[in-house]
Amino acid sequence: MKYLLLALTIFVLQKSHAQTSTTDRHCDSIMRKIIDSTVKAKVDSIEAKKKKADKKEDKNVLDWLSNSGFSIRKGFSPSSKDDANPASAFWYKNFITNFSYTTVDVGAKYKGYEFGKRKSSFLIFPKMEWHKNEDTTSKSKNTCNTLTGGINIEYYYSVTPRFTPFIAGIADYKDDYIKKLETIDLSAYVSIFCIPSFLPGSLRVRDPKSDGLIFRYYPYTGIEYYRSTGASAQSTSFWASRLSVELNPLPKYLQFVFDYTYRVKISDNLYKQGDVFWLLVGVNHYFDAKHRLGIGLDYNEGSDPNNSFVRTNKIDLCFKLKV
Amino acid sequence: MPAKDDVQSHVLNFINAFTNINVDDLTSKFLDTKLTDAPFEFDNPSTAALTLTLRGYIQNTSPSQTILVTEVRSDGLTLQGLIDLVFSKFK
Repeated sequence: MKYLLLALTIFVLQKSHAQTSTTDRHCDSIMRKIIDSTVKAKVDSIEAKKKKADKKEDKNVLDWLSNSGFSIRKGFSPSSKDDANPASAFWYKNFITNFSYTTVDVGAKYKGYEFGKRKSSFLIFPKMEWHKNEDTTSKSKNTCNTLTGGINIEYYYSVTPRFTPFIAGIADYKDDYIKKLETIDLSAYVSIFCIPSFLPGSLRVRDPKSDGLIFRYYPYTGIEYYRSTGASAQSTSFWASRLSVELNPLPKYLQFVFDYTYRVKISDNLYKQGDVFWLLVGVNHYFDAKHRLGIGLDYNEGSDPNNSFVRTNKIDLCFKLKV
Repeated sequence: MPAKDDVQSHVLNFINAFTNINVDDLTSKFLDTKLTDAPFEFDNPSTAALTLTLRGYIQNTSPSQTILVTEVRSDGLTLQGLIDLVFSKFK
């Protein structure tokens, strides 16, 4: 009787355990389904949000322009550092005196086309630029309003991995609305990029603590040719030499810029200026280590190549924002 | 096809040769920095020269592949983006 009772108890316990296991398995299965469906819903929700965000990005005109290969800068002349500067536009009007002032420096380019071999690359890209500096008195010699359209070319050839000479050139059609002068501008400059320290273009002279670039420079030399359109076409050509230097004594925050171009007259029936120079001396103070936000003071003197070589002497104080 | 670590190591060594920034600093501080931003400050000629160097490295393994200057100059490309771009050329 005692053994029968024990056997019965064991049987009941086993049955109960079996039932519990079945119930547990059932619960596990349900829980797993719930968790799976919750995770799936969460993943779907994240993907939907991501798609929505992507769609939002597509709607942003600046993103669309950037993704399509367009760049907008101050300018794209190979004889200046304008392509490193953002575009700017400023308008001021006094409604009492009716005095108004407009300044615009905008250039847009398409990423263009590239033909590359193992050791060389040839790039060609179309661009447009608008430079305007005008007020209602229009008595200033520095007044300008020019629209330029054309192509830039760049050719790089790697002699060895450490030395890469290059040619930078333009072929532009320029319309000067102030002087009623339309010109075809052609230019080509030769220079070199080198890896070893203290040679042209080298990025290796750095502050050991911050890794910031201390010093970089490029020499350029080349030919410029300007020809007016119309029946009585006149032309001017220069042999131009340029030195562009960047010095960062406090690499994170302070930068000095020196850019000097001397143009030797080869022939000059158009501008009738003889030999001319163009000097830029600038100092920039940056508020962040990545040089995205700063304030700069630029001093220009000489014959302005963007304004039909008009004699210019000016100083600009400007904010620099690079995003 | 080279491993991703191998590609990363080569790209970091090239950047080190160009900028004199040591590889440890590149890995620990500057993977998310744009090539055109400080401290790199790559400009048009240096990005072109870097591209030609990377092209040589890629074509040593995959002669049919190439990398373009316009790709390396694309807006906002970071050091990590460059490593990913070079690695994608081997796939």
